[in-house]
Amino acid sequence: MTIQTSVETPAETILDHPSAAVSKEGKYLTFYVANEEYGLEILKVREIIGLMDITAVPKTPNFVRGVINLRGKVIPVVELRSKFNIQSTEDTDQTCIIVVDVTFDNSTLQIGVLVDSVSEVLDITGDDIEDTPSFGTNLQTDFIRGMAKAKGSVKILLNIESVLTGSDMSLFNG
Amino acid sequence: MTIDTLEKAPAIDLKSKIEEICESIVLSEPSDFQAISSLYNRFEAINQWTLKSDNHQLAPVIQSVQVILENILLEQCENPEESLAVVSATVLELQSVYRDGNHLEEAHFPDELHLNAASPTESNISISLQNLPAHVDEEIFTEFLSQQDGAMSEMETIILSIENSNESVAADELLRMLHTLKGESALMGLSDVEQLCHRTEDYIKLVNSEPAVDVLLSVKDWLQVKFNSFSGGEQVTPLEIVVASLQVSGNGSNGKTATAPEEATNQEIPEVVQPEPPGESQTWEIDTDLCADFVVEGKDHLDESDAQLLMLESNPDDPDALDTVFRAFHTIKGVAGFLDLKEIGLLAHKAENLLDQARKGRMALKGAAMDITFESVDFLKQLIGVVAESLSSGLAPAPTPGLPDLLERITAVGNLDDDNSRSSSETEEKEADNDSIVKPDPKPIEETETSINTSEPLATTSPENVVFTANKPSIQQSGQAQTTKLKEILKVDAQRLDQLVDAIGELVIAESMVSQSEELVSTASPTLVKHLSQLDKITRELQSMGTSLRMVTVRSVFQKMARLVRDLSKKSGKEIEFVMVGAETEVDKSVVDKIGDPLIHMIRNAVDHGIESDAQTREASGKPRKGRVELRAFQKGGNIYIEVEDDGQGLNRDVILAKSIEKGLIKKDQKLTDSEIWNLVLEPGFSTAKKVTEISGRGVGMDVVKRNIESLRGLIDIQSKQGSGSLFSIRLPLTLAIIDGMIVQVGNSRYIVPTLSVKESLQPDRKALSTVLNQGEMLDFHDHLIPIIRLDQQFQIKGAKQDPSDALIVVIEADGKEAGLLVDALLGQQQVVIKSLGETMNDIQGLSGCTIMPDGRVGLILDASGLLKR
Repeated sequence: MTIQTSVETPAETILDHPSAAVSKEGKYLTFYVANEEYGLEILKVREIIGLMDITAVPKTPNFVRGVINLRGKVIPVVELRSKFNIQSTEDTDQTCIIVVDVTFDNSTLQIGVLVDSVSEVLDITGDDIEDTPSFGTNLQTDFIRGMAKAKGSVKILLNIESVLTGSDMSLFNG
Repeated sequence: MTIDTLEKAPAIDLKSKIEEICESIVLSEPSDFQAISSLYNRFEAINQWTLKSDNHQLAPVIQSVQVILENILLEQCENPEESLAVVSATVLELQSVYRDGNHLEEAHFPDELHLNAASPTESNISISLQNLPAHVDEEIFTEFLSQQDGAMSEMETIILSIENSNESVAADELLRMLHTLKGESALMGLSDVEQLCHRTEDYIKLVNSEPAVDVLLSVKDWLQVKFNSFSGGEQVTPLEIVVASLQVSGNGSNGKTATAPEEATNQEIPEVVQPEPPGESQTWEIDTDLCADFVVEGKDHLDESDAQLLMLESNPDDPDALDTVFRAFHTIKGVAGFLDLKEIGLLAHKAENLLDQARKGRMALKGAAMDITFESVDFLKQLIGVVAESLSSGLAPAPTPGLPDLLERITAVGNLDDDNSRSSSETEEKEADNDSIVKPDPKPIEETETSINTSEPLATTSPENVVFTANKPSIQQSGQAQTTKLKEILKVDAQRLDQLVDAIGELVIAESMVSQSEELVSTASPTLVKHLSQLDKITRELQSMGTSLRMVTVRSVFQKMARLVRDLSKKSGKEIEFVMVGAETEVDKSVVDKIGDPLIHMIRNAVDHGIESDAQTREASGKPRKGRVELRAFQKGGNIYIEVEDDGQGLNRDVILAKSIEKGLIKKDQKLTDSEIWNLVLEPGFSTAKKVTEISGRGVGMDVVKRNIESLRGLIDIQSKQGSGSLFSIRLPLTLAIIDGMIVQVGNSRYIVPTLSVKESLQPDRKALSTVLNQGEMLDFHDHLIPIIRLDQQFQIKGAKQDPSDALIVVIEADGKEAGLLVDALLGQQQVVIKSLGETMNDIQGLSGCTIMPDGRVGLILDASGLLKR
């Protein structure tokens, strides 16, 4: 394989295209939400921080936990469990916040993503990536880049931009 | 060549000029810029001749040709060949007129002339102020122009929204914009813009907020073209066309139109010093470094002169002020002579002579003499601006129109002895590279040390006045003051500053977290405690330095106002004494940027409405003849106060009440306190003026004031006593980045209430509480009922106290409304740095932002007006 693995893959890549899997390969940060393992392009990740005091902001959707002070910068924190309609649980000492860079309306925002635990950084090749199977209308999958089979388990590769700024939450204003 | 001979320049032999053009046009090719530019210069010569000789038929033709040529030169022409053909056709027609004696009316000029052969593509051209109106500070004018770009597009949006929704709000907004523009353009000397705005305002009022959108758009377009014309765009169509359209659809308001177009044309047609072509654009051979220094220093000197002249006007016997102005002119003259900037040198010299007369007591510097001095200062600023422009473009400065006229008038005012001045001017120009001083210098050694390069103003003393100078140490002092003023200033990107201030804020938080951490305190050795307190001291210092970085003095705004008052008093014929106090008060830069507009309106109101229109009335009521307007700035507590006070007739309570009832702002039997009544004048559309004057009276101004002040999170307070004047007091937070906040606890959350909107906090008595329909809760607060807002319900907070008599009520006010905020406890007061919640959630009603609390967590800042808006 001659294609460089470090090339940033454009976020807009359309999943249906057969060769698209190649452009999706690269390094992914994997993490757990409930029992499922998810993957996030490493280039979108700014940093991982432990759980800190989150100030709840009124009149925002329930998946917005609130805001935190990231070294003087105030950034919102999205709880992935509520975003995926999974029952929330108590925070543990494994719970952490992945700070991601998201391009929205031509400006780059930092958003914290609250996940159950972070697992590892994986190099995922194009061969490992499969398109998302269709589940019909009752399960939205358009924020999933694909499925990766690596180390004997399936990782769900997220398109974090459309997770966070998808149609139903162009803004966090309730 | 001296100016004197230029003034009497012979009329050009038009016929031969056209012949020349004919010859050169045949040889010209669109790609040959040199040929085109020389062609352009030839036309320019004719153009100037036509203007001088009032040849109105020929002028438009020549000007259109020039536009075409300009477009070819600037490569903004789609088809240069064709454009050039149009030019040559025109020249042929001209030839037939002037050689063969045909009538100009019968000539068939190509149609394209009037269509503008190529429309100039809009400005990426940097603003190179053409036709800069006289008497206007170039910097202010540039700023004004640059603002208009945004304003125009905003205006368009508003006009379009009028069309779509017919909202009167939009019409109000438009009125506000026009009003502000009118005021500003009056200040800039753009009388045609002012006229148009005035008329359009009339028109909108007349048609009762349902104006024809086409007409409004045509007004807007005209304005845009006008503003663009300053930055090198196409010329405007005569004002009358637009005004006519206003009248037709407005059923004719009045017939004063005739004056407008005249003024408009005056504006556009530059008088020109040199009747000959200025020659090909040559590179300008001059010591650019020295010249750049001169531009900077010259501007400083002139600004200083402006200030001193204003002082002189109120206190004509102040020799120091006069000397300062004199020195400024003198320095400029000297350096200009050295740098071979003839125009500047000449003007400075003439003005200096005039001032010298005043200095020697041969004439008083007031009235016409004062006016002409002001004019000279403005003109010098303009000339220096031209030099600055030439410096950046590398071309020789173009001659500036209007100079000979001004020179002549200066001479007329000063009755200067011509021979005398001429001889001295010659000697001066020769020895200009030394210290050029008219009179022998009593202290030659010192003077040579402080030569031109050091920019030290040259102390000039005439021999017979040596003693006089020695007895006046203040002269030396003011000289020093001027050197200190030239301290080095570094322009820094505001964003970087903000980042620095942010970083300092974090440092402060981190520092307090470290020094207060329990582990450290319990184990600390005395030395560590000492080091920590040292660290604490340094951090605090850094914090105060950080906040002071964005602070600037209000001087620049105040000086603008001084000028405004002067102009207004001339215009209205009222004698006014203007006093400024506290011009050195420092406020946040953004405050300075935003306070200008409101101040213009307030000062204008004070002069136009406040001060009585004739001196007799004033004397009758025991007041001095001269009206007094005072502009003050000072800091008190955590706030900045800016006040405008006049000793005029004061606000008329009854008239305001009657008008408010008529406008439906209040009910007939409503009882109002004084301050409530005064606040009525801030409502949009409120005006008690019986007639709308050019200066003010429409009631739009104070609405602008209110809005701008509110956007600065400030408050406005009006005090007035009928017959003895009124006081408008603006209270602003010290910086926009920091507010005083009261930290309250509701359930498990903490919120910050801006102290500015807190009226009182109290533990309610059960008797003071009542409910409406068993739901709406009310509190009896100082004999009136105010609603109670339960924050926990609005914000879905768990665990808050439910019984009001058990909790606390913070009474907040905004927009004249009050409400009680139910909170669990007050946690204290603190200054906090405002941060935005970020793009994703900055529109949450009831929240204005957030801040980092001392413990590092995020605290949310409540927005009183948002909470009260429900």
